[in-house]
Amino acid sequence: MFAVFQKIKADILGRPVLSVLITIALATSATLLTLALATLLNAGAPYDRAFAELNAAHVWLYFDRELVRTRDIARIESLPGVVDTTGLRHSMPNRVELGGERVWVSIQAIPAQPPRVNRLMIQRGHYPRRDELLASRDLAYLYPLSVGDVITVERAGGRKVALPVVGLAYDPMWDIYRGNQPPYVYLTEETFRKLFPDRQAWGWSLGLRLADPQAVDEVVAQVERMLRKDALKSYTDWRDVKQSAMFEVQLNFVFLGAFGGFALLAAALVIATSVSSTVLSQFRQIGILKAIGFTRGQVLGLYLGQYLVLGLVGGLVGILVGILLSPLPLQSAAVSLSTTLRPRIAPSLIAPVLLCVSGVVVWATWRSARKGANTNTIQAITTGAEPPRHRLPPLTRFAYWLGLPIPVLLGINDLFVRPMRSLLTGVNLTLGVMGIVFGLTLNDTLKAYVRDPSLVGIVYDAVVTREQTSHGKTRSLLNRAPGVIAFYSEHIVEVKTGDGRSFQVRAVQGALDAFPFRVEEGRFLSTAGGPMNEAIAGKGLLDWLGLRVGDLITVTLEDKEHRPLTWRIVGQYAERSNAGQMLIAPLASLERHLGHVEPKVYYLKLAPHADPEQVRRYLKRGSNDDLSFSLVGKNVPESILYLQLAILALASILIAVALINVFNTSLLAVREKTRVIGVLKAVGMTPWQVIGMVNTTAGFLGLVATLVGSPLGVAFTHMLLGMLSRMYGFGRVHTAFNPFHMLFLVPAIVTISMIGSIIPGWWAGRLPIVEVIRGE
Amino acid sequence: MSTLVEVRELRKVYRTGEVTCEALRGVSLEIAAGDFVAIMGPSGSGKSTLLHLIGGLDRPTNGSVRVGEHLLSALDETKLARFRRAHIGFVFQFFNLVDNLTVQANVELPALLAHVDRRTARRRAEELLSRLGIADQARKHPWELSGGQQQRVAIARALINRPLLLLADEPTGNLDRAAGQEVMRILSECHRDGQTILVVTHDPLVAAYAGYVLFLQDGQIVGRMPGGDPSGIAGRLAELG
Repeated sequence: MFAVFQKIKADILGRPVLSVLITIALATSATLLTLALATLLNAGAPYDRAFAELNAAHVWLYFDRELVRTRDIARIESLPGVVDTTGLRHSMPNRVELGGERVWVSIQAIPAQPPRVNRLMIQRGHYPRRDELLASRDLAYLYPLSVGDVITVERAGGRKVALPVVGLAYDPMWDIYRGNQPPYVYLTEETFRKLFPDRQAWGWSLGLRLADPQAVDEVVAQVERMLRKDALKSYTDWRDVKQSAMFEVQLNFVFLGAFGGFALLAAALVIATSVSSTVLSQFRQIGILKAIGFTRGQVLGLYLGQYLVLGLVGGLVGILVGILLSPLPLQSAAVSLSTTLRPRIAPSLIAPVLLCVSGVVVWATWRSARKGANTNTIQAITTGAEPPRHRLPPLTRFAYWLGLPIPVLLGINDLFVRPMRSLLTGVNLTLGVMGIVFGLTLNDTLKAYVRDPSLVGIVYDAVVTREQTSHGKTRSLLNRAPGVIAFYSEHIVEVKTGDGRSFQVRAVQGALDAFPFRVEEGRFLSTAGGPMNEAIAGKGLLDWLGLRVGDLITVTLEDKEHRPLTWRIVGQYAERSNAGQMLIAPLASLERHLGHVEPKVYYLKLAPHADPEQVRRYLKRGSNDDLSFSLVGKNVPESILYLQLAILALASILIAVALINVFNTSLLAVREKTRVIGVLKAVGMTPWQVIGMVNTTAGFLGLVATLVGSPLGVAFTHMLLGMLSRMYGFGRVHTAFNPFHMLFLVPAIVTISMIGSIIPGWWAGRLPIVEVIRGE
Repeated sequence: MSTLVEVRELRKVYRTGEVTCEALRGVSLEIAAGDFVAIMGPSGSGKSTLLHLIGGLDRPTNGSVRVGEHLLSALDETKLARFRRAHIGFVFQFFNLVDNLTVQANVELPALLAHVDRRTARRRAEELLSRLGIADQARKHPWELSGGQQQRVAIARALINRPLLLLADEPTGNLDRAAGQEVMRILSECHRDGQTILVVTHDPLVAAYAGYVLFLQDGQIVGRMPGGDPSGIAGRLAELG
């Protein structure tokens, strides 16, 4: 056994460059896997930490003011399982003016001192005092807003009060995923009461902390049983809010996991290439070892041992680096929640990564090591391992026929001397290309979505909302507004299915034909006097309710439970809000139940060269100041830009691992064919021609890898985005890839591959002919 | 006849770690164009080293080699490679053909490296293969041929660029007697056609084909005698031990 250890040590130290490179490749994949696992295991940690620091409520109940009394609130607060409460909170949906825009917000009354339960995280400024206003972080995100700005609150009767923004806050129970939830602004209870004295107009809500945070459903069921029917309008579950907060981190996990898997596969390819070449180069030596008494098991152990040692070293180094870098993927979430995070690293994180790396090492080593162990001793000693003899492959014959220079011809021919080795290296390069194409495709897809927002369900150019101006007048204005080609109006209605699941319906009316709704399956609503009972649904809604295009859906409206409403779902469209859990139906189909409805939101299609400012001025002139006009934003979110950079960095890592393999393969190939190189030099091949020959092999592999890897990369991106899209209920993804990328990708990858073979090529070019020939 | 090869005070020292070995100790000689010279000597006498230095495969520690107009010590690696491909033909003991190329491609290889146009290279290769009696083997691969046939391919490859000098290092060392004689007969024919040849050999029968034989011992030329008489050559070799 000691002899085996001695030989393992000698072999590792005897090939220091290769050993180091393989260790780096393994360490890289271990780092990415550690990062992916740390991200997955700690995805909720920033939220959990913020949640704990703020003593946030586990469930927030929203009541129908007319059906609830204060004694009901007291009964809820004393329910078993409720350990603490926020006390009854008042709110008021209202319009405010900020930066020239009139914005719909929910004004929340908060205690004069920071409360015990569900404190707000003040990210800038300070907690509000009398006649001061605290804005939610999300309001500041939607509208450029900073501490010191002024927000004008409209009081009942139209009187306006300007309040200074003294801080920006994060509310741990404000769910960004609830598309219908307006941003919050906070006033002290005293200021709130002063501005909105009409108590009947207040909304009531209550936050509860539970002994068992998972018992939200049970507590809500108890509350519903306790109160009058429909007294509980809705509630926010802390788990849903956490899920929303984790979205970006989960994306990081998906990408890190995918790239970690790629990197591990790439490292396996490096090892498989290396071990097969090592066994071949040591064929004679293996024969000698067996002749002096090594058993087959010992020879097998010799090679498995060598690479397992490298795997363990690389794995541990990679895990360590991964642990050090693990805060990075979680940083954006932690920063956005104003918390710091040192991810929890448990043995459950280290063990799988180490097992994974070791398993891959054994898998990649096994075949060649077994081949070495089963070597016929006499044959190994006498003949060694000459490269296999075969006829010129068709590609070389074709290159010969083309009259390519002889070094190029011989370089192409070398691809086929050890086809498996070339294949493994090619696959390795292909993985790198796929990584780069993944980043490029993601970028192109985002650009395509920015250019054509209809792909993400934004079929309009601008949105207008009204307050006092009548529906009729607004329509009339929009009909005459310069640059407005068409518009439709929308009224959102909350509906409930027979089994109690509620969702929102976009009830629409107007020139729908002019808008490029993306119907992914089925068809759009019949617009010209067609049946009223048609609807189209988001993918998320169909999946959630288990429905398909063509099915009927029956729902009830609030207060109208005795009159169910049925639509036939004729299509599935791209819905970006509420995880795709929405439906579009003609307004007329709802008016039969609701009576006449006057929508307050209008979606506009503008002429290609329309001046938005002119449209805004036209709409807001005179007494129509309450009309708000906003253009659809066309900026790529910062978090996505950050993600793209991260993906390109990960792709570069894959390329670096591929470079290691190219170097490895070229070096081993040069070592194996030193005799041929010596002969070629003897008959007149110059050092530069030798370098050219070695580079051609690598460059050709790069060319093939780019041609194969590019479509595979696009397909992989399409698959991954499709998977994410399905997860979040969006529906089909329209992946874009600009073919002009190939103009730089092909030369870039070919050059990179050739760079990987420059040192082996240079070494080959300087091979001393006499020593090589004497060596025979 | 004009001098083709001029070797002056050639020294070659090999160093392996702290051990040095002086393979050549001030060898000087001249070979005229059209000569057929054999170099003989015991193992380790420096025969192959001398051949490698004359062929530009290695560089001397001291002294100079001039082949035609080319002073080899003045050439860098690239120019030396171009010199070899244009003016030197090598025939090795182990043939050293490229296994994955056909016989035809192996022969054409130095011509293509020298940027001879493809058609001319092919024509020359076909002529040589025909002259050496292996035209029917042109599409085969080296490993499909006998040793004698492989060595004939090597000779064809050595001759394709019409070299000034053909260098053969133990050309029959890996062949049976009949095949060896056939190879030497071919080299003799080449010599009759005007080719200058330098052969390194242990075999007096091979050396006997040469116009004269140079004897090397301990890195120095210690004797010279005409070729033609194998037993005389063997006797002289035996004297050297």
